[in-house]
Formats: sequence, structure tokens, C-alpha cells
Amino acid sequence: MKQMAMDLSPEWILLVGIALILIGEILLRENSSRFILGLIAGLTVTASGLFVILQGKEVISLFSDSYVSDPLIRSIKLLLIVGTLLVVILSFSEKLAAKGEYYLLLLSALLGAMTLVSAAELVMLFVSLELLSLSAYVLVGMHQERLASSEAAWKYVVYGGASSAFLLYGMSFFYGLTGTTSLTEMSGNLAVAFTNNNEMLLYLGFFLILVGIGFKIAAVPFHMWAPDIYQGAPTTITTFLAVVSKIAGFAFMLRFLGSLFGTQGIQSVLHGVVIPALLVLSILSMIVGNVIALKQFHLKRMLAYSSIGHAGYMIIAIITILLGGESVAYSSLYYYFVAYLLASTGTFAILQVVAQDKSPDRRVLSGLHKRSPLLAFCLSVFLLSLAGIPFTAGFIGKLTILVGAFGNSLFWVAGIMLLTTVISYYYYFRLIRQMYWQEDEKAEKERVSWSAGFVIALTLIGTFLFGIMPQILLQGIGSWFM
Amino acid sequence: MVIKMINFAWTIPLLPLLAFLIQLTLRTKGKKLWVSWIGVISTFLAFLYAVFLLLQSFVWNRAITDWKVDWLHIGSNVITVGASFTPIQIAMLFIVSLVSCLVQLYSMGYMKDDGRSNTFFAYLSLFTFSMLGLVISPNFLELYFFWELVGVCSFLLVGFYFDRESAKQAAKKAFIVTRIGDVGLFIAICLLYWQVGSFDFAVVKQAVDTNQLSAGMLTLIAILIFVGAVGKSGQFPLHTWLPDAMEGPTPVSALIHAATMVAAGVFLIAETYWLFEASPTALTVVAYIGAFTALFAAVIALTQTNIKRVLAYSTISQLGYMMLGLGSLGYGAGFFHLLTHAFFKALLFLVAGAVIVAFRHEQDIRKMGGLWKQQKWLAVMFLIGSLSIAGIPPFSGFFSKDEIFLAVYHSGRYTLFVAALLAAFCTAFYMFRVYFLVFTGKEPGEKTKSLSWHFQVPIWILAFFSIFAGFVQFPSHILGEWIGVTESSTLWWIPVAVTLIALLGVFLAYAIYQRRWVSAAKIAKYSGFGYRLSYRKFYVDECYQAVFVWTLKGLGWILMGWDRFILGGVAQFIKLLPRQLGEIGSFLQNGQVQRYLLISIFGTLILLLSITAGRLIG
Repeated sequence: MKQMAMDLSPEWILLVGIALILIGEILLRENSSRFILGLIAGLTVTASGLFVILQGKEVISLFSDSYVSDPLIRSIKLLLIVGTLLVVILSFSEKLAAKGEYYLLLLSALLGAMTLVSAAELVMLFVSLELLSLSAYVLVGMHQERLASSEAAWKYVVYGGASSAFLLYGMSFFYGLTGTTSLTEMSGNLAVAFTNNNEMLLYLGFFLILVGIGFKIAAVPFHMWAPDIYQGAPTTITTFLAVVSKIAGFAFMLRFLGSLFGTQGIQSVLHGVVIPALLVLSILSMIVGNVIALKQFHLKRMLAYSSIGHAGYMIIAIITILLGGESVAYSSLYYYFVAYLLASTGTFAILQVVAQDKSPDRRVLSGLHKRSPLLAFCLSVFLLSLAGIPFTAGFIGKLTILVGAFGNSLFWVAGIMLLTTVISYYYYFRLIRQMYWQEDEKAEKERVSWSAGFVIALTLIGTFLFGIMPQILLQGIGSWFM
Repeated sequence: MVIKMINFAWTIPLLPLLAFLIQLTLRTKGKKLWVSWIGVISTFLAFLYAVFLLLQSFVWNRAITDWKVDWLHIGSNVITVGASFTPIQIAMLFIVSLVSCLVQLYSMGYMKDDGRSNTFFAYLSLFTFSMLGLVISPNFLELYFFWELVGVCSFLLVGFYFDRESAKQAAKKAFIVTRIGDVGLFIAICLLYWQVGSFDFAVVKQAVDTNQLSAGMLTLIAILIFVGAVGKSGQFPLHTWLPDAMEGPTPVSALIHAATMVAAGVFLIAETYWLFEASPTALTVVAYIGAFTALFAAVIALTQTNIKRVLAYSTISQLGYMMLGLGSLGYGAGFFHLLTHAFFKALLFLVAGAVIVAFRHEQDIRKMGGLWKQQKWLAVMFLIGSLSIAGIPPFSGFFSKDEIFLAVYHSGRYTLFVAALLAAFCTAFYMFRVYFLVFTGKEPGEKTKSLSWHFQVPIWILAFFSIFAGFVQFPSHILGEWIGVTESSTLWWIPVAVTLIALLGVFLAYAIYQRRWVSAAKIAKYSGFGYRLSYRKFYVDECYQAVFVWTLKGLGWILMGWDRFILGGVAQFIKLLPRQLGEIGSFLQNGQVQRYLLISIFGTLILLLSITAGRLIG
């Protein structure tokens, strides 16, 4: 029992945090500051992260294999925790955070994401995913007085609900085929099921599940919700969706596909159906995301499309992992996650500062260079990292993915990745030009709250550090978690 | 002490980097004079270090210690960063630091009245750092990093006057067009890594020498590397950005768009020459593109009226010569021309900048004239540059051009030899056209501005090198021996032919623009009667020049048209295509969640059917 408590510590600490926030919300007066709740949330997340680190290289398996935690999973959890922590810090200066349930929902969403990453059983997977999604639905709609926010929440619920239905339906096929909900048992039974002429059911199940996964990672053609929701949601929540929720989705994808299609008997399905489907998803995401981003004037919409494009790049890394199964491929995906997390969080943090409550049009950046040169510089660095220019973490991320793609002879995909990267320069540089070369009537300096400043500084340092000395991170992944 | 300095040669680029960081912090508050001196002094120190290395390697034949640290592990492969010092790298260090130092000194005069001069000097330091880093890179990846960084600096400096729409457009164009080349280079690097598993020049060279790569792959990689060089060095068909880049301040044009960065493409090919030697096809491509560019740009330069644009096309043309030399197995010749060109073209640009200042920022050569009387020294300096680029002995350009001609002749591609001769003729003509228009003729009405010593010192020094740099290869080939080239036998008639054809060009320019035996206006008048073209050939003395100039001018116009309409059109199309696609995409994205779901479902269905149908039927 004691051992189990230790093994589950990252999760139950979050639960304790949630309880504390609930109690705090009851005790606090209507109009007093909720900063203390934010602090509790931040500390809880940090403590949870510490426990993840403390677990070290242990391999944990609980509840008859439905909860698994190994170094690889822990490394992803750490990312989710860092991402959420940055969002929590950013929220200190967000008006919405005046409501206690804001932090509560953020923590429950994180809890969902963490159990999602650890889940090795279909019911557990589904419940975790729903916990993450339901919390996110409410968070998106937190701006009750703003129409766009409510509309976004509504759309998110409808789209998310439909995707969950697909996912569940797909899972039921897998259950029907194998008679089990455990992923480990399932992978063994699947090969048998496949030889029994149930091909079509298997394919149907896979594609239905792909809808659910595609929704979470916002890959084309399941991406349509992303721009509207990114635009309507409060900026901090957009950050959460773009970073934490997306990474959790990828971890889910990797675990699900990796454990089901990794065995020998099912290799022909992997190469014949799964990989081609992922390739299509990746190529579509890269092209659609980057091309439509060219036309966007609303910054958050533009970033939504750019993040769709990034999902395309990350799928390539997933494909190389599925093909090679090497730790090299995994570290390239992880590197991309880190680079993407840092640059996206930094970008959104600056947007939050610059746009304040307004809906950020591209013009809010005009003349930022004159008003706040430091902010303009930081945003340029983040955009360059997203674009994948050398000396930033984004470049190393792209490079390792490309090397992996070339290593597995995926020339066409690598070519499209290069091409769409070049297209993406156009809209990233447009923003940089806007900041440096456009004049603006607004003259006063931007006011940067300490929390936003902290997040920006941290992500900036990370972006440079991992761009110039990537070995630190790679070695970290290698020695510490694997 | 000496040993220590040899071991720490890799710190050279750090000097300007340090200057950049200091200048960046002083950008808003720092005194202009101080900020500019920081740049000049740091670059001068880098130059002294480069001279020291040059002496060590060149005179005493000592090996300079390479430097290497592990940077990144991808799987079992280790990627390193470091620095290496082969003779051509040391020579490049010398050129880059010298020209950069002189240009910064010159900029102190040129940018004196500019409000943002602190930023300008910071950019120049950043550029110097990147360029020095580029030349000492021992592997492809590091080289690519700096390759991008010099591109960024070029972008920043071309767009320095960003309140001018044309400057903004030019900066954008420069960045985007060179990126097309960069992608080629990047793919080549990825392919090499995939094939060899390393980015190191030494390792890749070994793999090439031991035939690890198939012939087709070698050619593909070599050509992709050349694509990168084409973008950076303004070769046809990616040359269009370079003339537009003249929107930047003139010192920038001298440093980046004449002497150093644009030569990086040539340097890249020289650095990876073993790759090209292994692939005759790639060498042929290099030679033909180089020769075509040399002639093509020289012909365009004939009709230009903006002094900086003439020089820009002339740069493209000279870079074409270098490529031609390299492509004709003239490794030493191509590199030698890079060296002399850096000096005389920087000289020409700096003089042109001084002329522009003297005429109060007038750049049209038709509106200039008579500067000889007022600023004799400028005229002499320009003359030195012109004689050198035209290839008149004993100026440096003569020797390097002569070697290129020799290499082309030995390669047996006589068409290219003739093209290069024609280009040499055009070069002499257009340079002296500029010279006569600017320095002779009617004196300007108002007195031209006098120039401070900041202008004079760099110009004098560059003039010195433009005159004497040629003697490193004559009478004995010391440069060639140092970089390890075996010289082929000389042919007595080639230098004579080159000199004669250059003199002919000079004479023609003299006849039209100085003596005005044939007026430019008259040529324009006759040009309407195309049928007279064959007829005039009978009146050799009076008409030969006119006809010749007319056809060349006409060709110039056609080539300009090609440039503007065909290439421009293609560029527009490429730009518009994603936009159109974007329109369709946003049409689908109309905000209705029902439609979103429908698209997802249809998407899934199509995916499902298209991927599994084949398997189920078959």
C-alpha cells in the first residue's frame, strides 16, 4: 500500500492540490484575490514534478497493468508538468484567474493528461482523455462575458464529443476483436485476430481511433476546430491546448500505436495501413497548416495553423519511431516537443502582454521594436525557433526529425517538410517585419507583469540554450530517463 | 607565446562577436564615435591575428592547430563543432578581416550623419563574426549555421533604410531568393549525412575518396551544393537579388555584396572541391553556369545607368568567372580570382560610395561628370580598380583572369573560352564607360563635397592590394604552391589576347564616351533600323563600334526583359499559388462546426477507403 502510494505520488499530489483549491475557494471571500489559489496550484504542480523525477528509472505497473510508468513515460509527464506550470505562472496576471475553479480545472486537466500518458488499458485511456477534455471545454469558455469564448467552448464540446464517440466506437472494435481492454494483452491477441480474416474490422477500428487521436493533436483533416478554439479561448488556455494537450495527445498516439502494432504478427498492417495513414495525415497537416497560415491576420489563428503544421512534423517523428523503434527517434520527438513547448509558450506569453484583452490582430505588433525592443527581440527569437532557424532549439528539433526521415528513406515526406518549412518562413518573417519595420500610432511602452516576464525569460533562455548546446538536453534524456 | 597563439586560432571570430555584444548594449545610449571604434578595433585585432596565422602557415609552413569539441550525439554519431585552418581558409580569414576592417573605417565617414549608425556598426560586427565563423568551419553543419547567419546579416543591412519601400522589398527578395539556394545546400547536407553519417569535411572527403558513394549520388550532392552557391553568389538564374541589394548603404555593398559574402559560394565549392573533382558532370554544370553568368551579367552591365548597379552586375559577372575557373579544373585560378576580386571590387565600391557622397547622393552616371578636375585622387583610384577588373597588366585582375582563361583553354571547352573573352571585352567597356562618364566631361555646376580621411585611408590600402596582389602568382606561383595546386603550362598568347581584348573595350568606351566620335544618342537613333545591321558591316571604321554596341545593347534589353518578365512572372506565380490555396482553405473554414465535422468524417472515409481498399481487394 505504501509502495503504491509512492508509485502514484505524482497523480495523488495533484488530487490533494485540487482538494486544497476547492477548500480555499470556499473559505475565500467573494471579492478577495485568488492569488493564493494560484500559488497552491503552482506548488502542487512543482511537487508533482519533483516526485516524477524522484521515481527515477523504476518501472511501475499497477492495477493489473492498466497503469504503467517507465522512464520514457515519465519524461513526457515532466514536459506536461513544465508546460502546465508555465501556464499557471502566466495566469497570475490573467483576470480570469480571479475565479477559483480556473486553477482547479487546470490541475484536473493536467491530471487527465498524466494518467492518459500512463494508461495501458482502454477504459483508463478513455476516462483520462475525457478528464482532460472536459476540463479543457470549461476552461475555453471561462470568458463568460465574451461571446467568442462561449462560442469556442460550444464548438469544442460538440467537436470533441463527436471525436470521443468515434474513439469509443473504434475501441469497441478492438475489444470485440481481442476480448480484452488491456493494451499488452491486446497486442498479443491482435495478431491472432488478424489472421482470422477480420481485417476490415481491424482497419475500421484503427481509423475510428485515428479520428480521436487526430482531434487531440489537431492534425488535418481533424484540425478544423483548432483555429476557432485557439482564437476564442483565453490566451493562457490557448497555450495549454497548444502545448500540454497536444503533447499528451502525441503521447497517447505513440503508446497506442506503438504497443498495438509493434509486435511481429501485425507488421504487415503497420507497414500497409498505419504508416501510410500517418504519412497522409502528416503531409496534409504540413501543407494545409502552413499554407493557410499565410492568409491569417489574426495572430492566434495564425499560430493555430502553424501548430497544425508542427503536428505534421511531429507525426514524422512518430513514424520514424514506429519504423525503427530506436531511442534515437524518440529523442528527436522529445527534442521537438521541448523546442515547440518553449517557443509556443513564449510566443503566447508575449501575445498576452501585447494584446492584453483585445483580440490580437497582426497590427498589435506594429512598431513593437520601438515601444519595447526587448519584447520584440524575444518574440523574434521564438518565431525563429518555430521556423527552425539555426541557433535556436527549433532548428535542432527539425534537424533530428529530418535526419530520422532520411535514415528511414522517407524522402518525399522530408522534401515536403523542407518545402513547407520554407513556406512557413514567409508568415513568421512577416510578423518580424511588422515589429521592426512598421510604424505605429501607439507609443507607450508595453507593461510586462513579473509573471509573464518570468515565463518569457525562462523560455528564451531555454530556446537559446538548447539551440546552442543541444547535448545538455539529449544527454539528459539519454542518461536520466532511459 | 607563438605556440599558444597557434593553438587558440579558433578564437578569431569571437573578437567581432564580443564587439557586437558591446555595441548592442550601447546601441541607444552609446556615443557614436566610441561604438564605431569598438567595431574597427576588434576587427583590426582579428586582422592582426589572421596576419599572424598567414605568416605562420605561408612563410614558415607551420600547421595551425585545429579545434574540435563534441556538440551533439545523434544515435551513435557524434557531431562536433570546431575550427580548421587549411591554407584557403587562412587566406579567406585574411581577406575577410582586412576588407571588413577597412569598410568599417570607411563607414565612420559614410554613416557619420545617420541617426542609427550604432545599429549599423553592430550589424557589421555581427556580419564579420559570422563570415569569419563561416570560413573556419570544419564541417557542413557549422558552415550551414554561419551560412544562414551571414544571410540574416545581409537581410538586416540591405533593409537598413527600412523607411524606404524599395529597401524593404530588396531585403525581402535577397533573403527569399538566397533561401532557395540554401534549401538546396541543406538537402545536400542531409543526403551526405545519410550516406556518410558525418558532417565533417575530412570524413566526407575520405568517404568520397574511397568510393563509398555512388556516382549518381555524388553528382546529385555536388549539384545541390552548387545550387547553394548559386543562390549566395548570385549566379544565373538566382542572381536577381544581388542588383536589388544595392539598396543597402554603399559600404555594405562593398563588404557583403562584393568582397566577402557573395564570394562564400565560390569558397564553398573550393572548400568541397574533392566532391566536384569526383563528379565530372557537376564540374561541367559549374563551368557552363559560370561562363553563362559571366557573359550574361557583363552584357546587362553595359546598359545600366546607376553606378552601383553597374558594379553589382559586374560582381555577378566576376563571380561567374570564378565559377568558370573552378568548373574548368582551375581550382587555384578560381580562388586566386576570388582574392584579387575582393580587393579591386571593394575598392571600386568604396570609390563609388565616395563619388556618390561627392555628388550629394546622386547615383545616376549620366548626371555625373568632370570629377577628375575636382577630386583627382578619386579618379586615379577608380582607374586603378577599373584597370584591374578589366585585366590590364600589371594590375592584379590581369593575373587571376589570365589563369582562368588558361584553365578554360586546357579544359578544351572552346565555346566557354570565347564566351569568357566576350565577357572580358564587355567588362573593359562598361567599366570605362562609367569611368569616362563620371570623371571626364563637363564639370558639375556646384562644387563637390570634399571627403574626410575615413574615406581616403581604406581606399588607398585597397588600391595598393589591387595593384600588387597579382604578384603572389607571378613570376612564381607562391599562392598556388601554398594551397597545393600543380600549375599547368602557360601559353604565351593567352595573356596577350586577354590584354588586347580588354584594351579594345577600353578604347571603344573612350571613343564613345570621351571623344564622342559616335554619340550615344546617335546609336539610339540608328537602332530603330534593324535591317541596316548587316549593311553596316561594310563600313568597318565608323560603324563597327556603333553596330556592336547596338546589338549588345539590344541583347542587354532582351536579357533584362527575361529577368523582369519571365523570372519575375515565375516568382509572382510561386508567390500567388499558396495564396490561392489559402483562399480555398479559408472558404472551407467558415465557422460552422457541422461542416468541420463533416470534413473530418469525409476525410476519414477517404483515408480508410484509399488506404485499405487495395489490401482488401488484392
